[in-house]
Amino acid sequence: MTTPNTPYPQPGSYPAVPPPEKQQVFDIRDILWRVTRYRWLLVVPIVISMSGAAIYYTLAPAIFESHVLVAIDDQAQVSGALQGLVQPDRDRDTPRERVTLVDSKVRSRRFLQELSLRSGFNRDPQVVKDAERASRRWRGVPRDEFAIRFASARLSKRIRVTPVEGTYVRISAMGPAPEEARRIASLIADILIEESKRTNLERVQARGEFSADQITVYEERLRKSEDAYQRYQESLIRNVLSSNPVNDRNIEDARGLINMAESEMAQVKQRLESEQRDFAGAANGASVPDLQGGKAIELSNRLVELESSASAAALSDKEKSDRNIAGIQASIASTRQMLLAELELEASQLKGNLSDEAQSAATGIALDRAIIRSLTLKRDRLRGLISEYARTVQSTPREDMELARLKGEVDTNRDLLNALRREQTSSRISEALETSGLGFRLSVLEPPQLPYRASEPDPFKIFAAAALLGPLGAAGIVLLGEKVRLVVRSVEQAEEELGARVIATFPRIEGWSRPGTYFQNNWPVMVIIAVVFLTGSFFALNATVFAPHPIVKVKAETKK
Amino acid sequence: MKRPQRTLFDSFNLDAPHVTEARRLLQTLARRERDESHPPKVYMVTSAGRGEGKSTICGLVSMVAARIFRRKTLVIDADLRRPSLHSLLGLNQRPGLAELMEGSASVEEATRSTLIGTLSAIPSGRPTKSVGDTYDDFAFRELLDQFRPQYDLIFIDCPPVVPVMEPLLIAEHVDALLLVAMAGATQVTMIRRMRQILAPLEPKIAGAILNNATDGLPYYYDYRYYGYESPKPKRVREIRTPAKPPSQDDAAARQVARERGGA
Repeated sequence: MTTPNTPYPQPGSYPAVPPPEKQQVFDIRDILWRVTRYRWLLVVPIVISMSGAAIYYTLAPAIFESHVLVAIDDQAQVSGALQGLVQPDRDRDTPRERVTLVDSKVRSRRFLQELSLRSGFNRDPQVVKDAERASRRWRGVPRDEFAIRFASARLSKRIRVTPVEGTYVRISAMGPAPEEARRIASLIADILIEESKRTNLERVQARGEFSADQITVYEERLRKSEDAYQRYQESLIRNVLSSNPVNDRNIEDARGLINMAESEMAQVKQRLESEQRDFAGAANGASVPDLQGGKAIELSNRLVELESSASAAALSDKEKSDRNIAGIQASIASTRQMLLAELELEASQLKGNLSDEAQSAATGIALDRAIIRSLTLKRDRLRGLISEYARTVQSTPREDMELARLKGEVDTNRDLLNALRREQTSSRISEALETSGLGFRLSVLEPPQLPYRASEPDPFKIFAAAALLGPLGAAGIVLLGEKVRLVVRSVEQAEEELGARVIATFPRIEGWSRPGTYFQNNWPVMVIIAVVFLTGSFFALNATVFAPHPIVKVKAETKK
Repeated sequence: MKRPQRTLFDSFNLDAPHVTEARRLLQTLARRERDESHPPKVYMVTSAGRGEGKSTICGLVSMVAARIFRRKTLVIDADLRRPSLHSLLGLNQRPGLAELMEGSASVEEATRSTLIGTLSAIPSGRPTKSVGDTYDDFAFRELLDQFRPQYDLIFIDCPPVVPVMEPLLIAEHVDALLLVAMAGATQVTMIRRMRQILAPLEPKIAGAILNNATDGLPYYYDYRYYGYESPKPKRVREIRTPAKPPSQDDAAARQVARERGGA
């Protein structure tokens, strides 16, 4: 028995079959071959799309477009000084921002409602019918409101805002009739200018009112902050006025005075001790008498005051104090003498048998005590002044900061108040400009005209889209068919699936029809013929049967 | 629309691509015969489904084998359900294989001459009973045994493998199988199913034939791409009224025509 599945049983006797070449990714000949193969299938979508475009172009309602050219930022010239006050940032608007501004204004609910009311579009029969239906469905909202809403929504779709060169903006209004398109465009321009004027006026008035309110608030704030600042300054001044004479220049002098007082006090204490011993020896154990008469007390207090004055004079300005110090020292010496004389008098008048030595010792003791007391008070006062000075030095930065804060608050409030006053002035000027008609931001450059031909449907766009979509659809169908249909498409695939070597590839016998039924082989051509026939029939019927009869048209116009 | 009735003889042109391809196929088979001790003589042509061109290829290859390779060739139409070989060869459908199986006709009656003298054909015939009852596997094997010494090559046009049982039975009696698939039309799933069915007979598969290369395969399988398309096919009338002196084939054709007229 043979082994038929091995076509080359003796490999040496035949040349080896070369392995199949890898298929190229992009082969233009293969594409052309496929185009030739699927030529009628490729034509089908193109014919369908072109026929559809032709029918759409015929059936689509004509839309007329009328436009108005508006200039934004066409403000009347004001002086340079006022320019910055009135509109400081207007030049920063880009064309796109201007278009957005106009577009948002035109499509605002308020604008569209005004437009629908003025144009009477809310009384359009179709709109009224829809509004009635909606009001029946949604109870609680009146029919007129629905009508205005629907009219506004439909009008919004008919408006288009596009930028033109410079600061110009074109506002297009569309309508099924030329007159309607022009009327809507004209109304848009009118309402837009009125709205712009009113809005600007309201804006500047609101600005002015806001500024006035804020000025009142900030005037009060400024007054309070100024009062606080002033009070603080006065308190500092008071502190300065009532302050001690010790400062950073004479603090060492003060300390020297303290040392001097203490050394003097030590000398006096030593003297006092010797006098006390003398008194004890002379008085035979009697106690030291109290020499505190009224005059002695008075002189003792004066001595204290003089010592204080002497220390104050020593700490004050040196040039002035030298003379004062000498005078005060002289007074201190005379007061001590007077005190001594008074004490001697009181000692002589003491009852008892005190010897002269005992009386003299008692007088010395009383005088030294008075001196020690005056020096002690002087020392304590100087110490207190030094301590107070140290405390003042520590608290000065905090006071400075507080002062700076209060001053800054005053400055801030004053600046804000000035800014508000400027804003108020600006709003007043702007209001005056708007009121006087000088401040229009919008002005109509070209009034709307009656369109003489429909803008839509645009035959070029429609047929261009069809010419583009047709081949794309055709290519898509072919590629999809090639990918989706799982059939034998190559020799390599057939060998793999059959498990046998392909030993012949038979072409179609020339002159014979393709395999398959007549419809399978010729359906693209049949579809093309059918589409062309149906399209032709449509146009024929449209031009004859469905065309409006001339007599009917004339009658309708007469009735109108 | 009814397809115009044409026979393979009408389109038989030695320069035609389909004839060239048939010659190439037979050349391959002939080389194999030379290299083998027991060269295959009986070939069965089948496919996965219907309408893939197996009858056309079977008839064409038979014609080329007889006309060009000068082999005494017999072609049998074993597709009793949807026969088409008789119309491709311009023969009457009956008597044929069905009548042979049913015993209502002799081998001499069923075996027809064609326009090519070395080519004989047995059409399908018209079974009076169901095909299942008519087809007799034992009788078919005896028939093949009877034909083997008489012919150099025998081609059997079989029904498709997937929907019908007979090809599997016939395949047991043949020497080799030729599988036909139509490029761009035959579903891969059907081919896989056919391969499953023929798995026990895989050693007998001599090769595969791809049909419809013009429309189903890449451009480099198309003869027209190389500028070697065949001349315009001649009409049937032109072949039947040759201007040149009548040859042996033409005499056979006249005989066939007489037989037809008699039938």
